[in-house]
Amino acid sequence: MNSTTMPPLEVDDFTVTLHTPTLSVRPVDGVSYSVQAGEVLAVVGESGSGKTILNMAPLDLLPVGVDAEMKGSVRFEGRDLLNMSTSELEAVRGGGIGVVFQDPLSALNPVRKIGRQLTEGIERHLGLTPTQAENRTAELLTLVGLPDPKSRMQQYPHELSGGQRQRVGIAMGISGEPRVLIADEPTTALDVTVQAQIVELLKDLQKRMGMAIVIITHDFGVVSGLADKVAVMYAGRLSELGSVRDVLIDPAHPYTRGLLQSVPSLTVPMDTKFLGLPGQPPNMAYRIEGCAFAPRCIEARADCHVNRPSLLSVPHSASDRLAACPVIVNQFA
Amino acid sequence: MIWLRKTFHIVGWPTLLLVSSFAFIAIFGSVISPYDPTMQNLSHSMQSFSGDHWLGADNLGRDTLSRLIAGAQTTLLGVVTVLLLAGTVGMMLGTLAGYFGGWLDEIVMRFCDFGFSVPSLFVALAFVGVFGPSYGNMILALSIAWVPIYARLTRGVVAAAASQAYIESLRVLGASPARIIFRHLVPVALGQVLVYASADAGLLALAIANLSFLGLGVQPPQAEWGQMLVSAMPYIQEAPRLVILPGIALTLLVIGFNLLGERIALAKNPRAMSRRKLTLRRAIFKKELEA
Amino acid sequence: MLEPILQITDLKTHFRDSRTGADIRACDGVTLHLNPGEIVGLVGESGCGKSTLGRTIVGLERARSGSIMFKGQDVLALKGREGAATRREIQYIFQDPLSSLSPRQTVGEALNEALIINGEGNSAARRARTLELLEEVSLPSQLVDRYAREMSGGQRQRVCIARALAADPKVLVCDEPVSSLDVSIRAQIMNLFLKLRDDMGMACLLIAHDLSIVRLAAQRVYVMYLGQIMEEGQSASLYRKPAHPYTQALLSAVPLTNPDEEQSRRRILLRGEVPSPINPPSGCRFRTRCPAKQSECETMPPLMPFEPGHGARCHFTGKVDIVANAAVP
Repeated sequence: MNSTTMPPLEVDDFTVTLHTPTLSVRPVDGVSYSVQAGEVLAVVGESGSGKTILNMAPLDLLPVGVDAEMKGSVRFEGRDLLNMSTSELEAVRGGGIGVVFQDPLSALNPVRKIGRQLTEGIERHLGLTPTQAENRTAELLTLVGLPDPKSRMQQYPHELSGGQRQRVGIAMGISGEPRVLIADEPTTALDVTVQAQIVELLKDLQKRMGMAIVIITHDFGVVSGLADKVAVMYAGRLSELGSVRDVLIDPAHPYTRGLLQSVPSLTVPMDTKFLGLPGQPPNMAYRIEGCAFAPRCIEARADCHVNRPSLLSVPHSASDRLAACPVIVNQFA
Repeated sequence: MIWLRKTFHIVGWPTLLLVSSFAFIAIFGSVISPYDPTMQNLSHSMQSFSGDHWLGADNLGRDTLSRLIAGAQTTLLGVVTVLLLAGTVGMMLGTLAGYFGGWLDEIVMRFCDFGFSVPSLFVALAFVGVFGPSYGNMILALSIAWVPIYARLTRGVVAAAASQAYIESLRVLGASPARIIFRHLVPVALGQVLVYASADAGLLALAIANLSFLGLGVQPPQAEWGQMLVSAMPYIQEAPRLVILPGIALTLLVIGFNLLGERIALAKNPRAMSRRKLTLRRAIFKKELEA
Repeated sequence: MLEPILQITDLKTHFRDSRTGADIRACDGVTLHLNPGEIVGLVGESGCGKSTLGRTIVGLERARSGSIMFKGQDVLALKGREGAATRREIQYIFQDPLSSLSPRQTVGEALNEALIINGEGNSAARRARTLELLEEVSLPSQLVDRYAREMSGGQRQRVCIARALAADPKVLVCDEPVSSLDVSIRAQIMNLFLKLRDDMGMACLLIAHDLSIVRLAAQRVYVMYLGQIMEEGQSASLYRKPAHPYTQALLSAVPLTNPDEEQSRRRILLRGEVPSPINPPSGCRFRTRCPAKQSECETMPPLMPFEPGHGARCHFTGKVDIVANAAVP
């Protein structure tokens, strides 16, 4: 695997349109980004921003019965996931791309011991014998910080605590030794002390395995502790994309600013007021003219409601940074 | 007229036609009936299909069509009475058990367990054994046997609703139990009970025919399909129509009720409730009854 | 010194485990008070008993022992109609506003019903008051005919607050009132609580796991672990100098949004799992996971004073700082 120049995951002008019997919505609209090996990209957004569909749709991991029409390209090591057959995609999911879900064990059968269910997948994807697979599972569970893996494998899903469940979920995600790990809100349901443990674990695993991680989250705390790059999504579009230091310390897009203001850090002065964003995110069932954020934006000009802003390079950033806001980018210059 | 079109849309025309024609026959039976269903005319004994008797006459020369119509009346009246009695009592018990929980819940649920563990036929047998076979006693016996079904159904619905935050909010606001029960929980339970009852009606029609067939329900000369079947048994070779016709009537009624229940359940819960799922749920429920 | 509006003393709420019949000691001897016009934070991780405490205060769970004094009466001993009238002056805001509104009622109907329950017999007066309530929570009056499912999360939570206000409460118990809402909406609801406090002198018990939000909203904070209060104090004092090792670990785990601050800070990663509330550790509840535990910790520590109005249930209050010794990652 000497493809140091080629990013393992490259998303280009990716658009998803979902069709239900009653309406069609476009939760992902022309998104482009890439992740390098050994890099952590955080995709940040509120509910309905399309951040989950952006990452799950190319892997065919949307809920059953959802009809998704995809345009653009999502290249994994040069191969477009959108052109793959179901069986090729399945091979990629188990091997090259690992996935960690918000509550991974809800996908497991509650009345069967977890050991057997884990080893089955490993057996199939890595082509190991049952004994080899069992040993591999035990190794993986130790790797994700679960002591005494053999007895852990004898337990049922409900016997694990939230943190342990997520550790098992991560073990499942990395079982195929993936080059890309996609983690969908892996810490959302967890308490802060457990969340800190999981963030440490992901950092540690990434150092050891050198994979690229895409973490989908709405929590800027997780982003600042774990990610190198951050992509902020609003209404299915990228509003800002850049290094974590650039985006979190000096956000360019008004939406990123508003979102960051909404999560007061423990270090802000005690008399800080609660600041949020006025209004509501747009209804995705309607076509959005202009900038999707304009109706809630304090910086909006008349032009913003008409022309859809493209991603512009933000001057004076420490590293490459893009923001979809001509008003602010001009101010930076 | 919107509600009519809506009903039509939900239920579908075959089901609506089937159920409403039975209802029509039951309501206007005495008007449309060509003869008095108990009037004997031995000169017409065993007469086949004819102008006098469209569907023939039985061994005592009673008009079969009139007796079938009277049978529909007897059956539907029984079904409606039992559902009203068992539904009301069951809902009352179930609501109290589901909302208050504790010892009240224990008592009601143990009563239900008892009801489920003893086959309804047994209950009816015992009841009729003590009080004597009659139409009224059969209705009472069936009502008693059917109460646990509705008590348990209601209890489940109410207990689930009562732990919802909006009911808890009402408790915190200081709403009286009566307000919470009658304004919020009963409407929820009623919906479920009606859905279940519409499918259950077919089962009840069968039970009434069963009991009468065994001589525990409707007594001669009053007309009832199960009772018609049993009195026609000796003549099954000679005049199979005497057995087949009440059988067809009963089958059509049961199919009508089942379709009705299924369509209503589907309309209430269109995504979760596929036809197959409904059958499965019924099977599970039945197994639960037997267990 | 202000007379507290709500004084909870040694409150215990236990549940019975349905399988084993064992006692689950969800809330195990909590003493806490609320002054009028004060927002008090109650923080802790899931399963620590903070929600159980809140639900016990409003009568949704039954207390095993202890007392809840409100307006000179023990709420737990209140009975009948007058008891209900007093109790409803303590209102509750649920985490999920959608499930706490009836799917069969419009906003107007829900508020109207709350007013009927509160004894407002005149329907014209109820209509007028409904509009007033909507205004108090900054909702447009057109919303009266909407159902909960037709509104956004923030609007629903406002309706829930308006409904609670219909009972003319003196105390609001708010159980994670913003955690089901999108982050950009949370400020609107938090500011509403601040407004109720400032304009109406409302006392709020703010139950939350988000320590950053509690820090800015609450004057005082209680930290709960395994059914007990571990530390209490003025927000300014408690967040600046946490005295209990658990609070120290908890605060050190909260991620900071500034990546420079986040990557250069000291952090304690707690090992192991929270013990079961069926069989909590003897002595200090936290000793099984405490990096600073000593032999003294096998006896239950009392609440030891640290700074004025700030104390911790730790034998080494004022002498222990587990985070200062932690390595920078």
